[in-house]
Amino acid sequence: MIELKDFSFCYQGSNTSVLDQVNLSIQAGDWLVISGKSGCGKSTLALAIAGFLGKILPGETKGQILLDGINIDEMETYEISKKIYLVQQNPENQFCTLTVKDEIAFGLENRKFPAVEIEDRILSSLTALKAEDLMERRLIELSGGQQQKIAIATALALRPEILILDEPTSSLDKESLHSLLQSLSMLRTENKMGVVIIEHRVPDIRSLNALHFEMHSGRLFPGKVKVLPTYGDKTQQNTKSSPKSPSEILVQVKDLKVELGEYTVLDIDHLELRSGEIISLMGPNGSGKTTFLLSLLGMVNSKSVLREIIGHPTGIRLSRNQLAEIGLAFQNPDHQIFCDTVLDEIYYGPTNYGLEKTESDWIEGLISTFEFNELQKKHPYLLSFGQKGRLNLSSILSYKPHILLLDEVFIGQDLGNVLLILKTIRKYVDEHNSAAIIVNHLPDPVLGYADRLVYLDHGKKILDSDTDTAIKDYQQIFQWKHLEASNA
Amino acid sequence: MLRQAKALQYYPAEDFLQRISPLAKISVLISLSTFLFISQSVLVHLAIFFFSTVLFLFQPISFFKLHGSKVLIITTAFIGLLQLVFISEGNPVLNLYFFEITSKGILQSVSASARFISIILLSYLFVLSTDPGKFVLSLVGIGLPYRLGYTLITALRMIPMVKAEVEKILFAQITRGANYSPIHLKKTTINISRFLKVVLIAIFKRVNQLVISMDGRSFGLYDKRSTLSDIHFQRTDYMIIFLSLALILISIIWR
Repeated sequence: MIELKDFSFCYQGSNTSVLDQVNLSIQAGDWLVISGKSGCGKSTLALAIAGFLGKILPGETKGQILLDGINIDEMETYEISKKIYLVQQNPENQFCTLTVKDEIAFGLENRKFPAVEIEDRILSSLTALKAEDLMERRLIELSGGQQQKIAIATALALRPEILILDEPTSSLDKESLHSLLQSLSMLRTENKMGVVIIEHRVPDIRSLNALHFEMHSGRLFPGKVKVLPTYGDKTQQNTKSSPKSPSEILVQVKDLKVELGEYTVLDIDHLELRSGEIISLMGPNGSGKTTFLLSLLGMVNSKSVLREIIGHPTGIRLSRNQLAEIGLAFQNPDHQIFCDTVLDEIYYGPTNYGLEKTESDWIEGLISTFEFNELQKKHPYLLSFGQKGRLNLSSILSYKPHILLLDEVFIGQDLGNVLLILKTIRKYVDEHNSAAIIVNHLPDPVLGYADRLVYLDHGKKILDSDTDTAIKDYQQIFQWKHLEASNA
Repeated sequence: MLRQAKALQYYPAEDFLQRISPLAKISVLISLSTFLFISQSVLVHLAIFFFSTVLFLFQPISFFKLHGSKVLIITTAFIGLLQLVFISEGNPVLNLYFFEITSKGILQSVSASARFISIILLSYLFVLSTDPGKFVLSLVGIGLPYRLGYTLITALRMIPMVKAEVEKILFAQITRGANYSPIHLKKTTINISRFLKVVLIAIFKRVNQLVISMDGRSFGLYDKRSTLSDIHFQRTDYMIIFLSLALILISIIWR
């Protein structure tokens, strides 16, 4: 069906080939999983298969991509799109309408489907992802995970012959991931749909019985599935710090409430973060995790009885000294790059706070830890998504904040880098008696490094305990074992 | 950064204004605005102000809860005050030490304030009660090319996203110690340019990914496309449009 023959690609203005002599054949009903380190060219390969390289994204191509025997260079993008559909990494940027219903209908309307069939397909695609409750919602109101569901539902509604999913699971909770895998399996059986999954979380999709490839520096190799360490791993339990008491309360909230129209997005009765602590903040998509971080900083419309960071009420202007105590990383690393070189970016915070000389050894250590030695002069925008995420973290840690607020910093990170980030944060928190809240969907590795698990559901805190106790409760409440077993 | 007020945007509800077609609503807005500008009668201005206030009472969002409502009230009062102070024609009504309030000044003051706030209230009513998507579909229904229609929709979609993005970028920069103090002009200028660069790059990236997403869903494949929800006109809508056009005509003749 689609065949890449010695295909190479080099982006305009760059001398390095992102894809290097890739050979790949995908037939109807084939399932492929392509993994690899961040920045190795996986997303570019997805764009190549979907026919966007050299057309919308300029650059130099070598070799051929044939769709049903026809060179895709000779085809219009919309012709290719009838057969191949790509769900990109960042769902929010793909939406071109205002509501969930209109978004899923968009492609079907372009292809002149009758309204009745459009309605049917909207419902079936949302049902497949257990997201029917989102049908009447506006896209702007959805969380990152919910947006990802809608981006995938849009693809499912179009029923392409080959579906490419670029990191589909990065923001999905376990239950949504399970639903996605089930509906993909169904489409494979019923429609002979081929699926290409670009993914870091390979173990989560091992149930697919797919061909696995690994990418290294733009080249494809037969892959081996690595196993993520579990939270029960003895070697990881030792990474947690021994309890220190009494510890200082760094963050506390009481009766924090966020309402969005008729929806209560967040309703937290009480939460504290103490020095030396790492909280793993988890919950299904749309449970209010990001909203919690934003409301903590007074960035969303919220009400609270008490909301303090280091004894200072937030929601009003924080002083420069207080801001220096907060290390904030948002989901999208592109929003936090302000300088023209990697080195300047890491030094940005320390220079602004006048710490560039006193903390130079510490900063050099960070550069080395996150392997930026060879990239110091490179422009941050030329880094891969995962590298940019690690650069964000380095530029935060460089000015030694007291509180780390990290929102989904593992998106775009391969397993090795997930563990590197976790180890670095754990060490930082222990050595500097600081604290961190890490919003994530990765219980396996994160719980091995966190002290507490706070689990949100529908905006409410339904679990808040030390990780050892929480692991047991977490499994019972969310039938973790059941999901694991059905995935395996 | 903290916003307690409600933003000026569409809020879905089941009130009668939301049941009226967007085209009927925009024709009322245009005709009443035209009438307000052309008519010199204070009574007409007050009648339209009364009409728009009553309409506001029948929809779920209170004007006073809207972002910027206080500024609008102050501006309206200021416009009225200017007329009182600077119009000296007409019969004196009250003599103050520095200026004299005249009958014409009072009438002009009421008239100017009523005109200003009426147009604002009517525009707000339109925004609060109209789904932008349906508005564009209505325009497409009367002949606007759908490519142009989607340009409007994507622009509308981008506004809140870019706004939220701008806040995040600014907060990320401030927590990294960026100085925006007017005392440090050089540093502030550098930080503003850095901030704008990130915003621009973010917008360009969005546009690029949006193009991929739209092309990937066969946008532009055919000259016409089907629609999930056709905009149907009720008899009331036709009547409102007819009356609005008649009002515009009357305004022009009356002039």
